[in-house]
Amino acid sequence: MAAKSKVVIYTTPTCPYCNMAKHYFKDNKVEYEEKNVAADRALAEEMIHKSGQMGVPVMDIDGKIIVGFDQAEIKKALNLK
Amino acid sequence: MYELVIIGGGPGGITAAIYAARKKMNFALIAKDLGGRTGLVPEIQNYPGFQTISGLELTDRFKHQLDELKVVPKFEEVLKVEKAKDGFVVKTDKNSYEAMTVLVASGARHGKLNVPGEEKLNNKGVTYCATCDAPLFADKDVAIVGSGGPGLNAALMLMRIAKKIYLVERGPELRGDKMLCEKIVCEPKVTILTNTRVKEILGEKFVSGIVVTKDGTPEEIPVQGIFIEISYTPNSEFVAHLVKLNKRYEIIIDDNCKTSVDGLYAVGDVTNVPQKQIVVAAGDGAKVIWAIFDYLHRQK
Repeated sequence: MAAKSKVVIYTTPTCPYCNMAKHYFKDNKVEYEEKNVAADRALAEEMIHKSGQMGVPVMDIDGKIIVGFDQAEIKKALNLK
Repeated sequence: MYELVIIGGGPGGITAAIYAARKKMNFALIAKDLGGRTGLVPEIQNYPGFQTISGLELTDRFKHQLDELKVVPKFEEVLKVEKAKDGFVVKTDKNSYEAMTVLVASGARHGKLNVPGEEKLNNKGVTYCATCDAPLFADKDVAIVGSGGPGLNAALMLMRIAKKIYLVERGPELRGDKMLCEKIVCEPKVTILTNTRVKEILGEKFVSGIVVTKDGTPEEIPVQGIFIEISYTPNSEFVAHLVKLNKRYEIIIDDNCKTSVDGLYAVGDVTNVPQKQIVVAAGDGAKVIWAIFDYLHRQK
């Protein structure tokens, strides 16, 4: 079920694609945990380690790492119709 | 059949939609997202009514205005516009729409340097979105390529974050807004490199440096990030077979934003209008609706 997925999104406050991704989660009633990598360098390192890259947003959906607001990939990872 | 299909959700397309809605036209707004590149500008200081506003906030305000007018954008990607008997067919990744007129306001996308290392290190120190990724370069040395508005805005943002900034411009002087230039030249952490071209981006897993040539002499500069803010490529591919483009692939328009094809109009960064500005796109977005309204009236 989509609502039960563990979703973490790594963001920066000024990033429009991060905002779009969060709106997408809200519209689809997906709960998520937001990690602001601009405010905490340890979180930035965690994101870079997980994704092997430095662009935001990064989403960790049940262990699947998605880089960028890739709606098709997010939909697939969440089993959304 | 729609009277008008607007393609693009940046300031040009949104303004056109606002004017079309107020004229109670039968139209559709098709966009990949709302805001377009406006959403990527960290600080906008030349849009009347706002001393300073972020691109993100201005985009939110655009959205609210559309909501109030009950304009519901179709979030689809336009693949092709074809001429039809009574107008046009707009084909998207999901649907096909018939329209008497079409307004192309599809903007432009970031340009690439096309140098070795750029693809391999994309998102690994190479970035095209300073607004998104700048905070990840705290206390790092970075290069910004391009000194037009986007490059200068990236420099202003990175001045608060990065340790050292190289601003690389291939021309003899900085190109953007003089007020922004003055702020940047006074900043001790910024080194301005004019007459300089990036030849290669170095690094294995992540960016470790760039090779530049200044006045023809090669030099290696160690940096951990490179922000590419150079000229943009207009999103005109889906009408390239229909309308006249200039050599930069921009759609050529007249004073009324009309293209070389009757019933087909264009505004904003996708056109040959040289001022790639939010306020110019918005202004043309308003102006064009009058032209389209008159055109439709003449057809009846």
